[in-house]
Amino acid sequence: MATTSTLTAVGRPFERLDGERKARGQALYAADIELPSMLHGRLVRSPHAHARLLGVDPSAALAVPGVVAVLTAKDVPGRNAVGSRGVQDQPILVTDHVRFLGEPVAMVVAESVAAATQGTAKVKVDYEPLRGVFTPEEALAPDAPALFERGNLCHQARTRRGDFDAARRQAALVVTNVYRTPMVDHAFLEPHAAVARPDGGDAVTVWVTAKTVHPMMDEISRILGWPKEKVRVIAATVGGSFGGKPEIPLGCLVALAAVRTGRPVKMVYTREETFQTSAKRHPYVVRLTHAMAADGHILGLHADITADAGAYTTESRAVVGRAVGHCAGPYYIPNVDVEGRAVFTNNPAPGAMRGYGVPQVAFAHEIQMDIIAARLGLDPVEVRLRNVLKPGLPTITGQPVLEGVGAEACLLRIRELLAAEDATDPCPPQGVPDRNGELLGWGVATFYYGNGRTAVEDVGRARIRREADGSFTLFVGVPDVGQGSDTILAQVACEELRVPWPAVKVISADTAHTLETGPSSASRVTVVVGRAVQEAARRMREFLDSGGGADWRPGDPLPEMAAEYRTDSTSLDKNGQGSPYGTYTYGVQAVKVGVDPRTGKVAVRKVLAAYDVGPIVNPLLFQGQVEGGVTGGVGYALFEGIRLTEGRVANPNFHTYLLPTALDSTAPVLAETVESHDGAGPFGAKGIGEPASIPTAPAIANAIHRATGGRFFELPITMEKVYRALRR
Amino acid sequence: MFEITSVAKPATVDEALTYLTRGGATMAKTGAAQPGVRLLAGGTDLLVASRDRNLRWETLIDLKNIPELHGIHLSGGTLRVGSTTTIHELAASPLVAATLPPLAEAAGMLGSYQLRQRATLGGNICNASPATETACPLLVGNARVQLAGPTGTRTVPLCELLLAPGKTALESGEILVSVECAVPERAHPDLRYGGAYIKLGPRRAMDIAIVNVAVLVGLDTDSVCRDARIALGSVGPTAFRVPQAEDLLIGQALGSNAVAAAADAARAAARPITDIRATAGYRLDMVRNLVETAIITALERVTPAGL
Ligand SMILES: Cc1cc2nc3c(=O)[nH]c(=O)nc-3n(C[C@H](O)[C@H](O)[C@H](O)COP(=O)(O)OP(=O)(O)OC[C@H]3O[C@@H](n4cnc5c(N)ncnc54)[C@H](O)[C@@H]3O)c2cc1C
Repeated sequence: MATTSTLTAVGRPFERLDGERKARGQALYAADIELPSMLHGRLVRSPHAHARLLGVDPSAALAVPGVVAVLTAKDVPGRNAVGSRGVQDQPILVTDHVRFLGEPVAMVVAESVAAATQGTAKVKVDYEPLRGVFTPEEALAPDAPALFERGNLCHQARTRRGDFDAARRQAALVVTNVYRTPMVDHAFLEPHAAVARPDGGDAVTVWVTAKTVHPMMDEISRILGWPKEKVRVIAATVGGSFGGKPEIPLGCLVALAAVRTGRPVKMVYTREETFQTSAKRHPYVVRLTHAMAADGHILGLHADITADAGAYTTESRAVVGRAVGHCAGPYYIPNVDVEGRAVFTNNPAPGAMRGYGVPQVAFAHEIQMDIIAARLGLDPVEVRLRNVLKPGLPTITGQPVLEGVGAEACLLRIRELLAAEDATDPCPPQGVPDRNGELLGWGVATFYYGNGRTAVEDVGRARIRREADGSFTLFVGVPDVGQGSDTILAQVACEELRVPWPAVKVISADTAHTLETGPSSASRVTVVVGRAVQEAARRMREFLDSGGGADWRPGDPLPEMAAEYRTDSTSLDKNGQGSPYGTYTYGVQAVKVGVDPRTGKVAVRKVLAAYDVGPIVNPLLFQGQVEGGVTGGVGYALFEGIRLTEGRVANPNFHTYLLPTALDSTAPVLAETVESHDGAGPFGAKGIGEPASIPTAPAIANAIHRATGGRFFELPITMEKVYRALRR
Repeated sequence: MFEITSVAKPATVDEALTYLTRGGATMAKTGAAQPGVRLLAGGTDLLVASRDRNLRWETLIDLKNIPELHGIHLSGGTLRVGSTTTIHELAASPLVAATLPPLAEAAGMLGSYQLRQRATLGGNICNASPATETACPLLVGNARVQLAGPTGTRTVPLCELLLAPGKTALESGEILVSVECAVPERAHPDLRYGGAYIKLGPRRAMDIAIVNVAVLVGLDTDSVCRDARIALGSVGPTAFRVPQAEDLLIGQALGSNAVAAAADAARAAARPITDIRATAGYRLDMVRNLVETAIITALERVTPAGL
């Protein structure tokens, strides 16, 4: 590990800057914002998953006392189509074609939430229901109804290198399996909310709960047909993101309503609305074929990945783009043929969620590795060691692994830790209960994860100002979504400025004060934004060291430094070859489970983790990320799954959508880091946000196999499935 | 959106009955309970359902200020629990733990700590969910419920109160006052008892049961079973006792064969459905496995002779 021992702010377990405010209930979330003469919005949502919209008659709703306005697509002055990542195909209010159940067709704005809700019941909407498609297979059938003129294939991506067919012919062992993962929800505690305030007749301020503000500003300005300077977007305190948020239509709708009525407007989704209509993790079907040499080396990989993109593009292109580059796992594989696709259906559209298309493929490749180990008579860690990426070797996209990467060291460390466990607390053989009647087993899973956005030059920007009292203010465009990025970035700034903690105040995610710096996602904030912060702080320190600002007098502009950092990633060619990320995080998790053979109920008993994540900026936040990530992984492995019937979410709240509770998350999580010297982030740091979660589900699946002999190719692995496997 | 026009806070059962039969102060009708009037205890079922289904209430009659409805008492060998006693109070009560341990155990597994502060025994029973936490332990306690109505009070066995999901034999205008169980050791001083409660759900808290099982066994001095009570939940329209299984234990020195036979009989008596939480087949197997486990656990807990 790059040493942080000489550093005074980076590497220290400081308490997060927003911790006390949140614990005391003082943090202001979007739903908490109250403005004078504020109105409230509620949406009229389509009860059909696929329909023609024939007409909307708001007259009865307008007669409801308290109702001020009813907005429909006709009220959108600009182009009624939003989206992220360059594809704008989603209307904020349906014009004529409903593509998913719950899609908004009108917005009722009223003096109270109650009046707005009453109003929504009175809006008369005429639909002509259409046949829907609810799985990618249905959607790709020749006679399937099309969601878009261009058809139902949303996106296709490839990764090709070498000659897979030749590798297959040479192989001593070929292993093919199909893996299925469900749609899951972020389940942040705070549902979506937004507030907009008109500022005079030609400007608007919008508070959102969001992982990014600048794209929201762009979309609102296009919806309103206004220049961007007239739209200010501020992230309120964000009550959890996990890749989710913003809900772009929501921000646009409150802005439109505020401009139309000339009064502030707030809209808060119910939990059920959030579940039914907002982004989720994509469900995948992944078919993997590994061609193996007898000595345990992987000769070739064939992968076929299908993601359900739901009703709109949202992030599907990038999610699939990331998946086709990550589906091999952190292994050297010379011959690769990967094809991935995202397919439109009449389901709610998935988007970004922690791991961004990778947890699904990691579930597949890590179970494959265990199956291969068993077939070749190798230890599961050993087969991974034989194939793990080492400096100089290329990834499947042809990106050379840098000197200093510790992927192999992670595996070696986990092997040591598991040997120690085996010596002190061995598990009985497969299928044999221990003295408490439990079946026990350890499972491991490895992964890697490119930090930053895929195959684009990822840009971080930051600005630092020295205040009159000698303190500093750091301006960054990314919101702290709960992961602690404000604290991390302030630590980097403090370190580089060589000022004592916490002499830096952070203003984040306000388009009026901060520079565009991409979203709080992709495990990129510490690395990409952090580098810009470091550079801005360095410039400020050098400026001050060389006597700059010494002659500053009240009334003078305050000294300011800005900086930009660009990753040295490249675009990909038609075979998916190139260097799509500046840095990768590598890691291994080992999970011990106990299985009750009478019921199939699984309990996670212990988690060991080894990460190549560079030096840790804040050990408390690191541990928080890993524990939170593991808990998310436990939910993904054992409990979670959106149940859809014809596009309707059958479990739209927390008593039917089961998450792990605190009592299901009591296993000790012991995370270590190995030496690593390739990190592109400040002081060599890498991202941990998504890497914390990715290996947990396959490690649990492998552990359940070790304990019971049952193999599981589909998530979640419910106790009923485990019980059935035990009976077989 | 759900709406509540008024909340009445009676101080006595009689006053509450007046609200109930008159439809509250705002409605000067007499006779049966009014459609817009409902009893409110902790509200953890009622308010959640009201929000889900956009229910409108003219008057909710809050029972929590009525002292005679509250508390845990032991007298004359009978455990008596008032209907507004909270689930937390049940879980924490040494009296309940000493006299009907499966009830304390079950109460400790209901919902979460926060929820248990609010939820009441009466609400849990009257909500009449097939998965209700307290029904199985109360059924093995041979519980009887005391009901107060416009024409006086009556006492009925709990098994006759529970009719179907969401349905009880409570007449309109009636209030559940208390639940009584004869303490097994007092009713049968010649026997020593052990009990167990098992709730199966995917999580370790905040779960609606897939199967619940309560067992009480009474052994004589020769360790022959003379009293056996087994109740199942979530595998029929209401929680219910399984005499077919109980009979296989009575008169036996309980070895593994007798226990297995009883577990098989319980499985045969269960009538589960397949729903979002589990299939009927899994529930059947779980009845078998968990009844077996519960009997074994109950036997392990039988107080040693001479105490
Ligand atoms: C998050 C959550 C988790 C839960 N987990 C569980 C669980 O694990 N196990 C479980 O069994 N339940 C669970 N429940 C359901 C609920 O909490 C319990 O059934 C609780 O005991 C109900 O009691 P209450 O006092 O809140 O009832 P209320 O909601 O006040 O009343 C319920 C019904 O009973 C009627 N009623 C109440 N008292 C009387 C009376 N004295 N006489 C006549 N009628 C009366 C009411 O009119 C109403 O119809 C859960 C609920 C929630 C919200």
